[in-house]
Formats: sequence, structure tokens, C-alpha cells
Amino acid sequence: MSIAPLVECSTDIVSSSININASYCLTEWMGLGFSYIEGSAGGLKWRLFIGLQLLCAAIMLAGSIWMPESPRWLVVQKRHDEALAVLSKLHGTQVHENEDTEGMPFYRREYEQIEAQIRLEQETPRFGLISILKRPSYRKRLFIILFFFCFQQLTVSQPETRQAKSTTILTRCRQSSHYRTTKSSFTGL
Amino acid sequence: MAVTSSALDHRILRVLLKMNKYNLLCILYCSFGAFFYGYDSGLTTSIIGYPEFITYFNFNATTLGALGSAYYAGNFAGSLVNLWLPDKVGRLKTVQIAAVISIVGAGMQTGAHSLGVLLAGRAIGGIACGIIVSLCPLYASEISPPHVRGRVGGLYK
Repeated sequence: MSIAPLVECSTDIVSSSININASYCLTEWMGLGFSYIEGSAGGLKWRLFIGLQLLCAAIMLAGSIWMPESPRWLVVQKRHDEALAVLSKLHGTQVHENEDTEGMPFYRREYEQIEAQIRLEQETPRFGLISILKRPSYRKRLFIILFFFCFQQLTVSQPETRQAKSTTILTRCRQSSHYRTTKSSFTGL
Repeated sequence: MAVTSSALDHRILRVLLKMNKYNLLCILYCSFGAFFYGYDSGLTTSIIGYPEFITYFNFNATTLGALGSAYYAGNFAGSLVNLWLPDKVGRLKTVQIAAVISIVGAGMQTGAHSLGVLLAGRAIGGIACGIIVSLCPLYASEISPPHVRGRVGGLYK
């Protein structure tokens, strides 16, 4: 019952975090691959590796030509016709067999819902940061979130710092660079 | 109520298939933002394993730390930009601006002949990635159909 929306909510989050980790993994393996490039100048391998960031950015920029603007933002900007056009392009073929459609297409009902929600948000007074800090129960929640995210970052992220340390130590031990890149592609450190 | 994992898989699959192709491509584009971030931030961990790279810029422990931190300082600035820019100029334009900033930053890093240029390029690239990594989940949730729309935006903010 109440599990259904949860399952659906998590799809996006899961796909995003899989993506980040998969790309970390791929990047480390590419790093290992590039370390085998032999060049007299020596600059080629790392310049190529760094330069591929340009490709990522170029794909992002090129892909944006076909992307729609967010319908929610368009409604906030009072560009209602454009919002409706985007919604019909995205969800025009959407069929919800178990709901009473009342002859109205799905994207149209979605548009009405978004518009009503935004109107409600604009009419009700906003929750500022000060009002959150003033009320003990909200303040507690804010601190829990800050605490959680700070410590998550401190414990899990910042691979560079750890790598910097391990690289320095390993350089002192005079181990080969291939060993180091191989190790980093396995451990992600 | 117990939910078996196969039922869960089936449910996710059904949800994914219940959108049109264009919408699916749009969501894939947004998740490419995560890949973009992963590549940009992940590459330093491998690259400082290259002895040529270390000797070229004459790295020591302090400057290596600066190389790692410059990127995350940029990330921080980029996330702050997200407080107002996506609401002002729109989600799509913000992504485009970030991609252009990233091209500038990556260009500086690729052509760097001194440590200063490399670190500046890293910080600029970090700003772009800071924008993209926090905006893309929000953007994805706003263009996805309601049955897959999560609290992704809220979670990442």
C-alpha cells in the first residue's frame, strides 16, 4: 500500500547514484588504460585523459538542443502555452487505464495539477530560514540534515585527499606507477 | 506487507516502460549529468598516479592537496549559483551555461603549462560540475511523468 509510491520514488535516485558510481569505475579503468600510452613528450597521456572532459561537456551542450524546458518552471514564468506544449510532447501518449479520465487527456490533467499547485505555493506565505531557526522542532530537523550530510561527505567522499596521501606514501616506497593506477581502479582510492 | 525482490524489479521495469521514448531519452540526458560529474571528479584520483604528470607540475603534498580541493571549492560555488540561476533563466539554459563554463575549464586544464592555470581550470570546471550535479536530479524529476517523479530534487538540494 504505502510502499508503492516509495518504490516509484526511488527509481530516479537509484539511476543517478548508479550512474555516478559506474562513471567513477569507468574513469579509473580509463586511467589505467591511458597509463600505458608511451610518448616521448610524456604529456600526451594526461593531456588526453583530462581533455576528454571536453567531450563530456560537448555532449551535454549538443544534447541540450533537443531537451525541453521544465514545464513547472514555464508555469511559474506564466508561459502556459509553452508548458502545455512540452507536457503534451512528454506525456501525450500516457495512458492511465485505472483512472477516471473524464474525457480529458493525461497531460492536460497534469498541467491543471501543476498550475493549481504553483498557485497554492504563491498564495501561501513562504517558509523562510529565520522561521525555521525560530521553531525548535524545525531547528532540530535542520540540524539532523546538516549533521547527516556533513558526516556522510567527511567519511565517504573526498577520494583525492586519500589518494594524495596514498600516492605520497607509495612514491616513497618506490612502487611502479602501473601498480598504483591498477590499485586505484580496483579500490577507487 | 512483504514485497519480494522480483515483484519490485517488475514494478520498476513497468514504470520505466510506461513513458514514451522521448521522455526516456530526456531522463537519460539528465542522468548523463551524473556521469559528467563522475568523470570530472574521478579523473584526478587516477591522474596523480602518473609520474609524468607529477614531474611536469613538480607536485608536492601541499599542491596535490590544492589540486583535489580546488575542484570541490568550485563545486561549492556552483551549488550556490543554483540557488537563483535555474529559477531566473530556466533549467535548460542553466545546464547550457554550465556546459560552456565546463568547456572553458577543461580547455584550461588540457592546455595548462603551469600549475596556476591547471588549478584555475580545475576550479572553473568544478563550478560547472557543481551546477550540473545538483540541477540535473531536479530537472529530471520535473520532466519525468508523475509516477516516477521522486523527491530527488529535495534530496539533492
